[in-house]
Amino acid sequence: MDKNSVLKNIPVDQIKPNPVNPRFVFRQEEMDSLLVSIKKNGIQVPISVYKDGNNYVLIDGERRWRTCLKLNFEEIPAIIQKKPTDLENLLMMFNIHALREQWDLFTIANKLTDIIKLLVDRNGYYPTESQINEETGLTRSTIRRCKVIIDLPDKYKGIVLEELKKPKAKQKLTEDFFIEMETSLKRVRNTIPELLLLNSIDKTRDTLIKKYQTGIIKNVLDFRKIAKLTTAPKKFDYPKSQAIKALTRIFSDNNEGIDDIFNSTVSNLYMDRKLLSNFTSVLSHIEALDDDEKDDEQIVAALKEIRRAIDNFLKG
Amino acid sequence: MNYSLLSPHLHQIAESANRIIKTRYSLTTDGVVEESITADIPVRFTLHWKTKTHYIACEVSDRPFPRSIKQTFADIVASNYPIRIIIAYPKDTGLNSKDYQDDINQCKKFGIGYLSIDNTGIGQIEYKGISLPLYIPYPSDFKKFNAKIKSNVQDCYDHYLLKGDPDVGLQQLGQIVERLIYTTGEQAKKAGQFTFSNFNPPEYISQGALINAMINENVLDNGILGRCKDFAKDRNSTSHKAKSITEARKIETKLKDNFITGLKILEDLPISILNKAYRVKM
Repeated sequence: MDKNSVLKNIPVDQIKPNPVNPRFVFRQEEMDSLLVSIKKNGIQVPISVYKDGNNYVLIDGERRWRTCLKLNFEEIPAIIQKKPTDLENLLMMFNIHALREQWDLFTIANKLTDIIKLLVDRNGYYPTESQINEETGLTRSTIRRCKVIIDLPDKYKGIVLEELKKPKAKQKLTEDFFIEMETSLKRVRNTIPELLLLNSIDKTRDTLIKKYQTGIIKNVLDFRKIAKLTTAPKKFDYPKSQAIKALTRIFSDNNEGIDDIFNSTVSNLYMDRKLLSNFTSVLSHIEALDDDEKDDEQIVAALKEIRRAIDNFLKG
Repeated sequence: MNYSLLSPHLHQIAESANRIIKTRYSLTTDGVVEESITADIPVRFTLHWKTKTHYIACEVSDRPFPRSIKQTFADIVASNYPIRIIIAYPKDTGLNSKDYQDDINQCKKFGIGYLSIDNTGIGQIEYKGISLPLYIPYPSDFKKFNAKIKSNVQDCYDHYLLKGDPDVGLQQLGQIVERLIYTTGEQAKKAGQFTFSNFNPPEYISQGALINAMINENVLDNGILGRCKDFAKDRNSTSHKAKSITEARKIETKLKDNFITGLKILEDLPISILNKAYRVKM
């Protein structure tokens, strides 16, 4: 609260939502929890508004304000601040909400483009991820995830938005689904571009969505296996033609899930690699043991056990 | 219609609820969306209508007994406005059967109507609820009533609250009182302790005349008989139809008071009957 701000009770009916508030989905279960709390304890934290003619515009506290409306309150405590610029307005909301209230990623992504544009206008150059991070308080990984959402074609953004309107338990085509799918498709496009040229990318997306909705693809994390299949020729001398064949099966409208195809193709290669990596890690740990640890009975016993298992394996 | 508080996935349910309630109650206008009815009612319902004698409010929710109503119910009742609440919810609530049934039971026990709507927008009001000034808590048991009348009293409660017909509940309560008075008079007459010549069972006699005669001959404690007489008189004052919201409010408050008075009489009358060594007979 800066020194020019004023705290007072203002009529709830004179408050308007902030037109640039990126949050436009308020799920009932969350609103109900807040309603219970406000009914019991009242408003513990004033909302923040700025004066705009005869009305007030929300900066912070849209859920509290909506709950007060629902509970038919006449007034609500508010901190009245000076009217911010468009960029200040957006940045203020990001800093207030994105960190505190766990906004939906789509909500954040939707306005991030505006923020970037306004930052370009102000600074005269495109902001780096770390500059966006400093201005908005968003982590770099969140910014990257947002960018995946921003780059989605409108049709799929519409699907995410419709999904977000549902209660959490009923959501299926979530932001996570699209982020995983898009990340894997991007890997395919970069590594085997000819594969996604053959099929239209939207057709592939639609097929994958259908497979996920019907349970053929069981888990959003399965999409990571597409990336593994794509990079298998580079990592293991796995025939590229076999990888393309496997990926084509995944991208085709059939009953084959990602998991099944991955298990019947490159899964063992990745398991062997993981095993080797684990052995290497154990070896480097052993080599790094110092004299004190060599006297540690538990460590010595564990090493003997490993030696016994290795001897048995090599004898066989 | 424009909703600003209702979750977007429920907008279609609200539209269907508007249509169904308008048809059911022959309302000519759409419901008022998310507006205050009065400052005394601590919730803005999704939709409401003001009729000549009542408010009809519809709260749209994911489930039959939403927290917005649970939290504000006591204050709504205390406001004493003649308001009937109907919850509209999607048929596929996603609740397990126990939670769903709990919600339905809660609605009935609070006198709140409910309406489930399928994904084609079709639905019907499955329980109409009661106007909330009529609300009384449903008892956890009926032990305080004499065993001979316990199930009849429960029946009255069921009509009053669970079936949404408070006037039928009150009427049945009155009939139990009448019946107890009549059968006691009958026993007293047989025992020679009641000599009123105009009382010749099983012939009909007006309750007022019978009670007056029983008071004159001290058949039962005169205090309880006096209460029975007042109760019968008061019941008649609630039987006419209200012409305004203010009148409806008065009539409903009276109806509820009468029901509570009737219940108290049914607690005390059997004791008085037994004290005079008669049997409680229906």
